[in-house]
Amino acid sequence: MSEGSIGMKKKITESEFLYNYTHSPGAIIGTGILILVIFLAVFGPFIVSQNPHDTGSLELSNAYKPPFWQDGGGKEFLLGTDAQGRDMLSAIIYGSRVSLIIGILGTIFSSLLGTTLGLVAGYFGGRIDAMIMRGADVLLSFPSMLVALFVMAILGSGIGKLIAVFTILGSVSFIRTVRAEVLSVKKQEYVEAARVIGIPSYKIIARHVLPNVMTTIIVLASMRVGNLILSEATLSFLGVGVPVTQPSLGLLVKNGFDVLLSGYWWITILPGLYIMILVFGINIFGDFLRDELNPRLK
Amino acid sequence: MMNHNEVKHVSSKVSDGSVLLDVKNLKTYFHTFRGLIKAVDGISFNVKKGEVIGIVGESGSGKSVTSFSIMGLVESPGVVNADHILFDREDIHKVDEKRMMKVRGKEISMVFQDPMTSLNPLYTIKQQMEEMLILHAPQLSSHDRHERCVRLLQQVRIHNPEEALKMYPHQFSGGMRQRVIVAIAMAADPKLIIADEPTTALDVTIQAQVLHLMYDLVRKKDMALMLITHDLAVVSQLADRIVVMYSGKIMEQGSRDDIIERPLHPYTVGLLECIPRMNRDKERLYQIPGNVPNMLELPKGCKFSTRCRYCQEICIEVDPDPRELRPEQMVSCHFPLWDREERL
Repeated sequence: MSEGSIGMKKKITESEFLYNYTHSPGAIIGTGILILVIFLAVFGPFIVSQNPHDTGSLELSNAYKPPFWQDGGGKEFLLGTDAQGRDMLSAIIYGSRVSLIIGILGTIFSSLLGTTLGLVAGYFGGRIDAMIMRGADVLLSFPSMLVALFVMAILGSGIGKLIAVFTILGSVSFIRTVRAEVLSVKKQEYVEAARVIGIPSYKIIARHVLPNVMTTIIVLASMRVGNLILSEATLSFLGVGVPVTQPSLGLLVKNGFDVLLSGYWWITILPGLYIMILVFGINIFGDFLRDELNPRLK
Repeated sequence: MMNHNEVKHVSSKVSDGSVLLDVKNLKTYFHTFRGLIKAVDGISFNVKKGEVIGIVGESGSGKSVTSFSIMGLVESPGVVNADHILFDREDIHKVDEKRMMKVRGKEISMVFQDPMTSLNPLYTIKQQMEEMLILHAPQLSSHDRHERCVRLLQQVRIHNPEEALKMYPHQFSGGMRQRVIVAIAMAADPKLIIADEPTTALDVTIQAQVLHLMYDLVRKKDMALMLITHDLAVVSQLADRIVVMYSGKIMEQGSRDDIIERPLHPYTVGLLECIPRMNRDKERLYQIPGNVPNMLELPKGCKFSTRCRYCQEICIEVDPDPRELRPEQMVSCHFPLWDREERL
C-alpha cells in the first residue's frame, strides 16, 4: 500500500463525517439551536436587562405586561412580565441555565457511574455482574418518574439533589447498554490477545474495551440530556424539582399556569416553547450522532 | 488444505531434548447448568525446548481449552486441575496471578485464529506492538523500542516497516495482520509460542506462507511452537511430534514419522485417510462415520467407540489407559492397530 493511497483514505474517512454533517439539515438546525441556547445561557447575564432572581429589582407595577407584539407590550420587556413584574426574557434565559446545568451534569454523572458499573459487570461477569445487574433491574422495575417524585418530595427541592437522583436513575440505561457492548467487545480476539500477553485487567478495560464502547456512550448521552431536561421540567412543574429561588424553565411554566386562563398566556407558553425548542435541538443533533457513530446503522 | 509439495520440511533435530513444558494429568471441567462438561479430561504431554509440536483434533476436542488452561486463562465456570504444569521447571499451575502475568507474553505467548479481530482497530500497529514491549521489556528506551519494532516487522517480512508501524489494522490484509500478530507474539522472545489455528482464517494461498514464516522464525530463535490445528496435513509437514486429541482425551501421541507412517489408533488412521493425496487412486475420500459425541453425554468407555470400526464390548465399557507401545509413542486403545499389522 502506497503512501498516497493512505493519505487519500484518511482524507476520505475524515471528510465523511463532515460531508454527512453538511448534508444533514437536521444536524445543522440542531447544532444551530444548541449553540444559540448555550450562548444565551453562558452570556445571558451580560445580555438581559435584569436579574430575575433579585427580587429587589422587581417592580410590581410592571406585572403582567404582555410581549411586545401585543397591545400594551413594550420594548422594555420584549417577552412580557410575570405576576411580580419579572422580565420573562431574563427569566427564561436564567431558567435555561438551571435546566441545562441539571441536564448536562446529570448526564455526565450518570454516564460516568453507569459506564463504570457496566464495564465492571460486563468484563468480570460472575457474581459482581449478577449483583450490579440485579440492582439495575430493581431500579428499572419502578417507574423512574415516580421514584424521582417520591425521593424529591422526601428530600425537598434542590439542584444538587435533583442531579443526584437523576444520576442514579439515569445510570441504569448506561449500565445495561455498556454491559451489552462490553460482552461483545470482550469476545474479540484482541481482548483475548491482551490477556494472553499479561496486561492487567484494568489496563485492558481502559485501553481496549472502553474506547470501543465509547461511541455508544456518546450517542446514549446525547439523547439523555434532552430527556433529563424534560424530567426536570416535569418535576419542577409538580413542585418538587428546583427551589423557587432558582427557577428552571419547568418552574416558570408552573408559575404562569395559575393565570394561564386569565389571558396571561405568555408566562406559561413561552418557557414551554423554549423547552420544546431546546429539547428538539438536542434530539435531532443526537439522532445525527447516532446515525453517524453507530456502525450497525450504516 | 495444503499441498504436500508446497511445504518443505527443514531438518528438525534442533531440540536438545530437555523438557520445556510438562503437562501432567490436566483436567479442565466446565460446570454448566446443563451438566458437567469435561472439555479436557486427564491429558499428559510435554514439549521439549525448540520443538514444534502439533496438537490435532476436530472442533470440540479440547485443543484450545488445553492452551488456555496452560496460560491460566480459563474463566468460570471452567475449573482447571492438574498434577502439574511445569514450565521451565516451574509449576505454573500453582503460581499466583502476579507471576502468571509475567509468564504470559514473556515466556509463553499466543497467536490466535482470526487476524481480523486479534488487532484492536483503534490503535496503530506501532502502539499495539509497543504494548507488549512496554510490558515485558520496560528497560528499552522509546528509540530502542522503535528499532525493535522495525526489526520485528522485517523478520516477518513486512516491507517498509517504518510506514507499516504508522498504519491501522484495517489498512492491512489478513496475511499481513497475521504476520504482525506473529511479530507481536515474538516481541518479548518467549520460549514457547502457542498458535491456535493460526492459518485457518487465511486464504489458502497464504496459509503456507505464514506457516513457513512462523516455522522458520521459531527454528531460528530456538523457540518451541505448539501448533494447534484441525488440519493433520499442516502438522504432518511441520511438527516434530504430534498429539492427536478427541473429546478431551489424547488418543495417540508420538513422533511425526510414527504418527504419520505407523499410526496405532483407529482415529489417527481415520484422520489420515481423510487427507486427499495425489498418489492414491481413490474415487472418494474416506470419512469417519458419525459425529463428534455430545460433550454432555460422552460414551462411558473409549470416547471414540461410537465411531470406531473395530469397536468391541470392552471398548464400550472401559476407557483405555494410555500405553507406550513403541518408544515415545503413546496410544489409548484396547485394540491398537499394531496388533493386526505386527502379529500377522
